[in-house]
Amino acid sequence: MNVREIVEDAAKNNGSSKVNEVNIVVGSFSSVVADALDFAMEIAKKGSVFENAKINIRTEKAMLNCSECGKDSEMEDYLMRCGHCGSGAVRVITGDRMYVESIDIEK
Amino acid sequence: MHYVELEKDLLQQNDKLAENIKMNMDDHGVYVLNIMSAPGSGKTSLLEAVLPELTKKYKIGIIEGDMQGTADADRLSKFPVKIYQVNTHSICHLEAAMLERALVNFDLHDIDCLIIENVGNMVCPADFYLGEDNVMMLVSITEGHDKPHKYPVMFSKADVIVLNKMDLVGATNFKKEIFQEQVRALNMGAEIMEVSATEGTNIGNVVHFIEHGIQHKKGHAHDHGDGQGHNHTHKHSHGHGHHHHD
Repeated sequence: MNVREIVEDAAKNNGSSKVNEVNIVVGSFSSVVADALDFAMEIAKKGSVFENAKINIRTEKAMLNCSECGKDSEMEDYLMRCGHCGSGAVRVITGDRMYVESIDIEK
Repeated sequence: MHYVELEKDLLQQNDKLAENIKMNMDDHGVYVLNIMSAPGSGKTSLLEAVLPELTKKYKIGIIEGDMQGTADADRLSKFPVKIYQVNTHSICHLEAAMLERALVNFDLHDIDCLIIENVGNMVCPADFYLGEDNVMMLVSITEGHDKPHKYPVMFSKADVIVLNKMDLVGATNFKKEIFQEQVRALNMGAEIMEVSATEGTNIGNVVHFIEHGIQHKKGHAHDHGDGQGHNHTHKHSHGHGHHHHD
């Protein structure tokens, strides 16, 4: 599923044919480059319900959860290391994804 | 103005498909290994090195992902394996939907292990879960010891890291300690295996890893059903015990 499909579906499901704003979130540990996405959206939106919409791209911090001390910390410098106890037994809980967070539609 | 909350993940559909593939593979007791690396790290050479041993005991299926051509599949056609080439054209990775389409070419009752040779690329393949049991990442020493730091996502997702072309280490400035340190900062669990695919050095370790995965999967093949009793009559013997039913 791509951004265009997601936005078109959501607008349709909510009975709208005009989208004013599209809010996209890009995780800092995803392989998506915000600038490239921004550029691509200018092309993707042509002829769609969000042709004239403002595209907002927000970068989401990558957060880790530590299985040793149980705490969450922000990933720094792409290192898989707990910011509290220094353990490497961590997993990424947010910031490894890209998603369409919300849209603003005309109703 | 009307605000609609979506939280629609771009990879949601891929992950859902991959979960279905995983369940299907689990039901058939097929171990799935996804091999990722940069172009030219030696994925196909590694397969050429492990297949003589693996094919003695197991039935192997291989999916070759490349942008174009059948060069890799041609190289492996000398082995008694079932190979299917996926050409992704302009796409730099394999996705679950491509794998699903490729899988119709395999009889899952008749393979013990499916090896996916992903498109050579250190970035995008890491984002696309294919329903695999393990990710094997291959790095060759000629790429340099600083790669974990530069491509953290893939290194963080690997279950095993194979360091290839060790026979050339004297001709490079590759610093093993730096490489290991950078890997450990991203991934505590993955074993690093130092091999030379073309010389055959330490290939036994890689074979053992894959074999362990196959055996483990077989041990779990009956732990859960697929809701169709006729499908799991006999999966008891290892390797050659698969009969064709249906």
